[in-house]
Amino acid sequence: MKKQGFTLIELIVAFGLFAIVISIAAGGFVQIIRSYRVAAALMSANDSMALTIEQMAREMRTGYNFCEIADSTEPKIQFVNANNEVVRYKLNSSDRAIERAVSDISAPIGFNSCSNADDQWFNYQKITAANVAVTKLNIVACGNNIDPGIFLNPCGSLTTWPRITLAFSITSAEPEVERLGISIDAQTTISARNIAELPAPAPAP
Amino acid sequence: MFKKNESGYLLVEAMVATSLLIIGLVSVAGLMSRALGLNRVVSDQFIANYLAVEGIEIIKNLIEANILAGLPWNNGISDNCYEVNYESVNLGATCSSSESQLALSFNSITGFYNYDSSGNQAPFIRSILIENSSDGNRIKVNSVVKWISRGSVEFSINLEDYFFNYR
Repeated sequence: MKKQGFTLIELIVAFGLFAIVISIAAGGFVQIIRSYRVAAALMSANDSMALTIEQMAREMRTGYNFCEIADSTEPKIQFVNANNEVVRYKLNSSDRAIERAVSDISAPIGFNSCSNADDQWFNYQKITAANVAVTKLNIVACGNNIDPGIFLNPCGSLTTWPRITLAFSITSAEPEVERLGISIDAQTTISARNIAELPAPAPAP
Repeated sequence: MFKKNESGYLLVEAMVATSLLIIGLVSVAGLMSRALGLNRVVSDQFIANYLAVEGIEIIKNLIEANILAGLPWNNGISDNCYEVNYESVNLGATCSSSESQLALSFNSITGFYNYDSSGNQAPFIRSILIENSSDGNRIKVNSVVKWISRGSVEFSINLEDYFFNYR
């Protein structure tokens, strides 16, 4: 009995084993590619959000007259920026985006007006990129305010500097990431830098 | 049964080849589990970075509050390691011992991180290290956020900032 190559049985068994191993491996590779894609989508969503937060933080650092406007679904913050414009930021809960607005030049609202009804004077524009979905935004502004007409939470004590805390939950707008239910809950605090508008400090005790 | 002058593969040889292939694939599986953990690493780093920034901003805020109140600029900001949260009006509690430091807790309803017991324990441990210069005109602040990620790998972010008595 002299063999010249495979027998049919050997060939079938070897091919069968090969097919099983390859199908498992292919499944694994698909999984790897998918999770890398999810990680990449998350990273780009994070980068987009970082840009938005940076923009908000920069404007708030140089702003004054902070005022948080209570709204259960779409929290807002209003302040006066370095160019003396009344600015609002809010969460658009249906578009899952953060929006910014400068009050209309003809608006009859002063720097110390702060109410939800004033919203008609604000034309909001989206500032988050399309690849990021902001699902939650909570704003806490506390500390002394420059304008006595606006009251902030005392932040525990009355003599504190304006401090704004932003807590936000984001996810990627990519459907693949959303299906996994990944949500990133981050928080940061901004301390206002503006000293130009401050009243004279209280005399030292 | 078998003769020496056989040529071509045998079943045994085919199996050896497949088992080699399997060994190769096991390492691929290792790569896969790394890739699956990447999401956590990416999001934890993002969160920790903002928490570290928050630590620096709170110290800046406390210095400004001292000036607003007409107190010495570094009033109450003495050398130590502190656990401050976004509502702190003073440096408050110093760090617990380095092994059992208090982690921040995350309240999923309000969405805030603090040391409140009402929230869930978050993996992030933040320590604010203060170092005054000998002449009292400079404060060095380190905001260190540590956390343990997937596979018990320890990560940390250390932000350093200097504040000066410029007023």
